[in-house]
Amino acid sequence: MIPLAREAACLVLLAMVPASIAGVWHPRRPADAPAIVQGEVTAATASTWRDALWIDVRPADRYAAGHVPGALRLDEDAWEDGLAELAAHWDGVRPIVVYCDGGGCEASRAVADRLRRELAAERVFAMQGGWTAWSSSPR
Amino acid sequence: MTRLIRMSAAEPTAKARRVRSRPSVGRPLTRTLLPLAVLLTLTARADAALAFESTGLDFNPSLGDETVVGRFSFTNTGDAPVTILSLKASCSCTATKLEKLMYAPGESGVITGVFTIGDRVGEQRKSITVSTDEAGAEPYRLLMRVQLPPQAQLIPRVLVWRIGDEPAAKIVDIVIPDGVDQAIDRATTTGRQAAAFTCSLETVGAGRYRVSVAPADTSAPRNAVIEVGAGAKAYRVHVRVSPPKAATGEAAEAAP
Amino acid sequence: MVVVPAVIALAARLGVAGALALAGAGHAWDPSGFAVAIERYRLLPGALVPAAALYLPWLELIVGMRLACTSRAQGAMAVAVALLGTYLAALLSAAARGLDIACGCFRGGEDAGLAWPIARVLALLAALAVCWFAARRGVALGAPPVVRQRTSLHVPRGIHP
Repeated sequence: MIPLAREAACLVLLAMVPASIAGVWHPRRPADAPAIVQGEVTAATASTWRDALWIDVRPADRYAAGHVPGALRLDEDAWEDGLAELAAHWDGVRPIVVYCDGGGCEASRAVADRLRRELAAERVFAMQGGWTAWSSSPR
Repeated sequence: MTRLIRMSAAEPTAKARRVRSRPSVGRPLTRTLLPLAVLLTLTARADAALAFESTGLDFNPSLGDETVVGRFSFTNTGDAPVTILSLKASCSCTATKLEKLMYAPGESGVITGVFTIGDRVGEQRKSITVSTDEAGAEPYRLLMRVQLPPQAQLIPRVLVWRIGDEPAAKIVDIVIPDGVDQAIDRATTTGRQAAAFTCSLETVGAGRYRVSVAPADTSAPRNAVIEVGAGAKAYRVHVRVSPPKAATGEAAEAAP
Repeated sequence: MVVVPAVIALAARLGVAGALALAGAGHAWDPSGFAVAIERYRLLPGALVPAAALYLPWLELIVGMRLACTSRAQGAMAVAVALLGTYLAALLSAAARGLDIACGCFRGGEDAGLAWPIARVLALLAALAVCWFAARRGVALGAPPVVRQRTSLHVPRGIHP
C-alpha cells in the first residue's frame, strides 16, 4: 500500500511542475483571460438558463434592430435609469446575463462587474461573443 | 535581404536541435513554447512609421465634467505616405476625430478621442485602434486612462423581498471614500408606494453609514425608491417586493 | 480468484492510458478553453477554475504515460480512478441539474449531451478495474498462478520486478 501511495503522490506532485510552467508561459493560459472564467458565460450555456435576466449594453439603435427576447437595455451613459428598469424586473435570484456586440467589446464586462458590485449579486455574467454569438448559436 | 539569408542559414540548425532534443515526455511542452515564440515574433512592431508622442494618456476629471478629450499627436517618420484606414474605439462612449487621412513623410497630425463620462464611476480605460495601410503592420493602440472622481458607494443598490418572505429589515451599507467631502444627512422613501416601506439612517463611523429598510408586509408586489441625500446630492436605492416567480422575459419579440 | 487474460489486461491498460493522455494533451494545449469547459459545470469557485485548468491536463497526461509504460503502476491507477471518479461526479451532477453543456472531455469535442460521456467514463473505470486486478495478480503472459502467490507472500508488492 505504501509504494502505491508513494507513486500516486509522485505523479500528483510531478504534474505540478509543467502546470506551473504553463501558468507562466502558456500563450493560452487562463490567466490571460481571467474574466472568461470569472463571471463569463458562453452563449450556448446562457441560452439554456430559462430564468436569466438579459441585459443589452449596445447602443439604442442596435438594440432596436434586434435583441434577446425580454432583454433590458442598460449602459453606463444612463446608468440610473437603467438600474431603475432592472430593479423593476429582477427578483434578487435570477442570473443576470450581460451582452454587447461581440467578443472584443469591453462594455459587457464593465457593466457585469458594476452590477455584481452594486447589486451585491454573484450570478452576474458577461456573455462571451455577445450578440453575434447568441444570434448565430442554434436554439 | 541580409536578414533573410541569415535566417535561412540558421533555420536548419535550430530545427535539427529541436528534433534531437525532443524527449517524449517534453513534447507537449515544446508544442507549448513554440507558438509562444512565434507569437512574440509576430507581435513585434519593427518598422512602425507613425511615431506617437504618447500612446497612453492619463486624465483626472473633476466632479461635474461631462467629457474627457484626449489628443494623440503623431508624426510620419517613415519614407512613404501613410493613410489611416480606420479608427475604432473600444466603447461607443468614445468618439474619434481626425483632420485628414493621408500623411506624407515628416508630416504630423492629431487623433482626438472624446470620452463621454455619463454615469460611469471608477477607473475607465478606453482604447482607440488605428489601422493604417502600412504593409504588414499591426494596428496602433491608443489608450485613455480616466480616473473618475470617487463618489459615495451604496451597496446594494437594489433590495428585493419575495412575496411571502419574512418582512425583515435589509441593510444598505454606505461608504464615503477618503477625500470626498460629503456627509449623508437623510434617507427617505419616495414613489407611489412609498408608504409600503420604512427606512432609517444610522451613522456607523467616519464616512460610514447604514440605511435599514423594511417592507410593511410582503403579501403583494410593491416597489419604491429610497433617496439617500448628502446635501444637494441624492443617491437612489430601489426596493421591491417581487412575485415569487418572476416573469422569465417579456414578449418574445425580435428573436433572430 | 479473478484471472484476467493478459491480452485483455493489456488492451484495457493501453485504452485507459491513451484516453487519458489524449484528453490531457488536448487540454494542456488549450487550458483557456478547458477553463471555459470547467466553468460551464458551475461546480468550482471562479478563483479555482484557472488552477484546475492548468493542473488537471498535466495530471491526465502524466498518469496516462505512466499507465502506458508499466502494468504495475497501481499508484497511477489510483490517481486515474480518482480523476475519472471526479469527472463522473461532475457529469452526473450536470445531468441532474439539467445543464445543457458539452462535456469538455476532449479538445474540440463540443457535442452537447452528457449520456455518451458518462458511458465513456464508466467504460474507462471498468477498464481500470481490469488493470487493477491484472496488476494485483501480476498477470503476465505465461506466468503461473503459484509464482504469483509466492510473490505476494514473500516480497513486498511493488518492489518485485
